[in-house]
Amino acid sequence: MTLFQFCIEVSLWSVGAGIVGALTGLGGAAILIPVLVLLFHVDIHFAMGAGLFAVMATSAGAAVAYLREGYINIRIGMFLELAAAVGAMLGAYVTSYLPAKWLEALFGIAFLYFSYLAYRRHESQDMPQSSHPLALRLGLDGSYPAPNGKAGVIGYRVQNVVAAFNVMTLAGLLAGLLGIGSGSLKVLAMDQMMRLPYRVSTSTSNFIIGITAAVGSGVYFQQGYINPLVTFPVVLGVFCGALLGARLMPILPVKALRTLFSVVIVLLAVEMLCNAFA
Amino acid sequence: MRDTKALEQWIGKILLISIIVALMMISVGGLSYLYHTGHQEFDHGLIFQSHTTEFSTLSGVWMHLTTPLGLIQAGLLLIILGQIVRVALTGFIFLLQRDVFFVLSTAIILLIMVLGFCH
Repeated sequence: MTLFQFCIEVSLWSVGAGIVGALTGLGGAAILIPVLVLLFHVDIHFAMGAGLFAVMATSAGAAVAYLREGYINIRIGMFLELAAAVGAMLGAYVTSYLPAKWLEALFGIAFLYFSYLAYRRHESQDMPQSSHPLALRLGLDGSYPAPNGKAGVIGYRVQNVVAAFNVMTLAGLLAGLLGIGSGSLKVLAMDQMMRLPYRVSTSTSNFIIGITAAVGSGVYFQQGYINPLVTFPVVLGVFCGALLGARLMPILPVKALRTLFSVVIVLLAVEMLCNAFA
Repeated sequence: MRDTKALEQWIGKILLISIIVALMMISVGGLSYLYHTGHQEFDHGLIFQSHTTEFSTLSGVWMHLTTPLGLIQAGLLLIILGQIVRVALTGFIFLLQRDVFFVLSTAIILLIMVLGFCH
């Protein structure tokens, strides 16, 4: 294919990844890296470099819409990001020493685990009446606008603060290693451990994954893994997709969003594992 | 605790402006590159030789700013800068809220972000 064709096709995939990324709290990199590696035969290190920018573009595109809507909890976000940033720095340094196949296998295994965690999610539950003491001390409680145009806000409580923090360090490590934003793990930590409302989890995740990606990007940049030609269609496509996805999110039912999330990560896991062991 | 919702929205707007500027740079660079070389065959070996410093050091990008690929790279760096600035502004919000824990956390994150660009 010509360079031109390459850019067109990659940008189309990127738009799709941006839409799904904004809807699920993923960064789009998780989707694009397998696509780039499997369909376009891009070396995984360069795919990861482009992936980081997909994450930052998703984060920026979605952040504007979500900040206005009031779903993002910046305190929870920055609190969790503290752990993730440290992990991401470590991961980014280690990644250049690992062979591509290892990274692909790790990618697949990690995503299988994420899909298992997502599957385990108990559906409806009663809203706990009080927050974890640490959450109260740090002021992590919040509220978000009632959906479907109803007036007023809905309050929520926060649980399992320490456990979520630890999971975040792992999320950051994986982010640095694999060039993703670790959005899926962050959403899971907020959704299942801290028991935040789903839309708060996904929007707050979108908010912070850009930061995690930026942490790793300095190291990737210096390693020469940021290739302008691959990254150019990725960034443009993902940003447009993310804007669109963020617009759609308040309208779509949570159940649909959850299903989308689970299906996507299962598919990704399977693909990457197949490739790693091929 | 002051109501900082308005400030949070400002952060979103600044981020949006920075990324739009970055995307414009990337678009101009990318389209210009494709205009000249788009018909060429996509050759993995040619495209993905890494470790040329023109795209992996800040000074290299600066020197190649007027080339299409250099412009793309500069736009990408601007995206990273946007994230750094966003964290700094969020830290400022916490400063206004007089929340020591979060100011410190944000400062640490900021430090880590910048650290990646040092040798």
